[in-house]
Amino acid sequence: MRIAWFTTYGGRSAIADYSRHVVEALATEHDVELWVPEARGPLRAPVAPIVRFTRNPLALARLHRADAIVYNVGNDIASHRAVLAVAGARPGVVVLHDAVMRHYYGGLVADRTWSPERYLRAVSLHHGPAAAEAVAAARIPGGDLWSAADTWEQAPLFAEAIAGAAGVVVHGAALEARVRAAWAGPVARLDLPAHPRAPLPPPPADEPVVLAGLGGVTANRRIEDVVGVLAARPDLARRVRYVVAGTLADDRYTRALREEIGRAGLGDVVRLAGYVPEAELDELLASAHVFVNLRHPSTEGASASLLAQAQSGRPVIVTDGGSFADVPDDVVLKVPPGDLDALAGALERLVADPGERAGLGAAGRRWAAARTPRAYADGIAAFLTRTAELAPLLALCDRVGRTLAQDDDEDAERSLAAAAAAIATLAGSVCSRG
Amino acid sequence: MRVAIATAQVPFVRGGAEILTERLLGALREHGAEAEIVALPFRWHPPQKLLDHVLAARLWRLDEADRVIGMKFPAYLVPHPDKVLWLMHQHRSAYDLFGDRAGGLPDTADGRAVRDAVRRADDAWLPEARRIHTLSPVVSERLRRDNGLASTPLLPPLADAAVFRAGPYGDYVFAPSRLSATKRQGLLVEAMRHVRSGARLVLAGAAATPAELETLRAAVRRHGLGDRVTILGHWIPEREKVELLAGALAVAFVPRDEDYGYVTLEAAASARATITCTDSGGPTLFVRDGETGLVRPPEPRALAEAIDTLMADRATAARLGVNARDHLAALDLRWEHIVEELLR
Repeated sequence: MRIAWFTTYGGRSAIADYSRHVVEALATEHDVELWVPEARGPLRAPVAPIVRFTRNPLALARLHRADAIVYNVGNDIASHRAVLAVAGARPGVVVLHDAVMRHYYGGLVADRTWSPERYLRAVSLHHGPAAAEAVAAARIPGGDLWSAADTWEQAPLFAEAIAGAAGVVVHGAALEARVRAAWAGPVARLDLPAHPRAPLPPPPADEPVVLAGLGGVTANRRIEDVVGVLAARPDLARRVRYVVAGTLADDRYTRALREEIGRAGLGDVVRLAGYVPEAELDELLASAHVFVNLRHPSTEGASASLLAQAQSGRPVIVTDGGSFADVPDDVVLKVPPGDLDALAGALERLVADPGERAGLGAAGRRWAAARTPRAYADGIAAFLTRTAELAPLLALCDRVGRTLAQDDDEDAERSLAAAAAAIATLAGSVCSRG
Repeated sequence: MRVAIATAQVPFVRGGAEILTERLLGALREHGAEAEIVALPFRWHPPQKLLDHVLAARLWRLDEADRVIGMKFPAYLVPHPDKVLWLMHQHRSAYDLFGDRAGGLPDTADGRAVRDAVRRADDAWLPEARRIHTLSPVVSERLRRDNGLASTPLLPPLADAAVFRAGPYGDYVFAPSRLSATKRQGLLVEAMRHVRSGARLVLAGAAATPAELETLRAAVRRHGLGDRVTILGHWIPEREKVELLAGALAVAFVPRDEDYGYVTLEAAASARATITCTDSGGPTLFVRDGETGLVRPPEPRALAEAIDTLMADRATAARLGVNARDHLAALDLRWEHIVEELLR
């Protein structure tokens, strides 16, 4: 199969890392090209021929030769804008990495590509007029629409990103259910693959116990919860070090965190390390005893950072919600969102009991070990074959729907019903498998 | 009785199928039926367009008709409670011609998807018909093989057998047919390289594409056959065709898996033997080797030998031709019979 794989492939993107490993596995069986939006600058390893399509838009004319096109799409407008622009023009399979896409579309409003009215129309279309009213009401005066974090769940806008797709791949059960409820096309849920890594040595036996957090430092990481627990429990704080590795993406939040750490006298206990390149990540992973991954609310479809942490053989504490709810209960320690007592209890247990740390870490490692790029590549290749079978029929549905939508009389309704029945027959088992 | 003939036509492109449809219309009217042709405008490119046409046919309502006679894909899929099929052929691009350069549906993901959808459409909706007739046993066999459906062939007669006449047996082999890769005129040009007698070849017919005509002309030039091969690259008037048949040594018709092969009937009506190939389909229903013509493998040398045989022995050419005419007469192909079956 000839596969055109669109993905961001530079910078600090977890999607770039994911693409590197998946395409490497896919390319052993298929003819894959990496279509990347980065016009210049360093990229991940060239595991397949690379097309910098924003530098050479005429190359897009070659897409008709592909048997399948894959668009990797996330919430960050800078990384995904060019990819989504192509996806809108040439249907393909969308890998939806984020459950929430409203920041992407908020970005379109911020740079005036979209008017605020268009944004609200999109919210109304996908989530209903009440959601549009709520988003409009929650708008921060003078700010961008997307600043209103409390409406994330109500109007995630992912449906805008998959409209017209030939198929959708998601990495979590929660997002799969939402996509299926919003979209009638073929959907596949695949387990996000863990990146191949050398086994880590066991962590140092001596205290302090190192608690580690990975990923961009934003308010939904709930780092202040850990700081709050440590501030309230000096005995616990004396036995641990808490290291957070990830881009300091939110200045206001970082400043507030640093102030709180200073006020609590935890300057020697808590360290915000900033971005750590993947190549240096092993060292950090090796030094950790426990990972704390409290991201909530989560915009992701599945957590790459949780996979890396579980793979390390260390126990992981997560917030029970979002994509973490998909993870089996015996693989991670789940605490309710915002419940500092539960978080304190979990930390105290794991700090006190190396045996429990080892047991939970081993369970996590087994869970991650089953999620290989090879298995993922095989899964997505099978899905691409299936969606290729269905693509002309989806396009037909689209044409018929658009044409008949222009009429609202009874004849059009009857024609629509007859057309739906006929298309179902044409699709045969392809449709029922979808 | 109101009868709708459901067919499909590439607008402004007229060929054997259109002529046959009009003849059926005439025969139905002669029989007293109130008949009309209802044609779906048809395009086969890009491949996805086929699905639009299938859907269009399924959304047709021919409630005004008491009987629908479905003839061409995808019009034969029109839903109707009293539908009888006289199938010219399935959409062969989705079956035996799939992936063929001349077939239309490419062996790509899209092409395979459309192929499968077309097959599903045939499987689901062909059996809706009360009866399925076909143009020939060749078509019936494909329908049995590909869709598991039984059908009865109804062989169409010539429109007007009386216009054909037999003249003296000349020095040329006549090959009247649309010029295309599936009709394999190129094979006949190749054969002419090996013809030892003084026989000539006359090809007559409109080219499917300008490129196909140029390919044939280039082959003639390349092999230095300009004085022995004549290409009339256009539809010739009926009268001219009758005259060319009447004065030919024999007729050559060597398509690949032809549905029926009117050319063979016209040759027989002109008392001409037909040279055809073992894999030509419809023509082999009429041409019995050594009795009404010569049947050879689709190889240039074998065809050249057949041409030389008839050129060297005009008496045999005449005997086979007369046999073919008698055989055609014995088949007693009549429109009345077809109309009676389709309206039964």
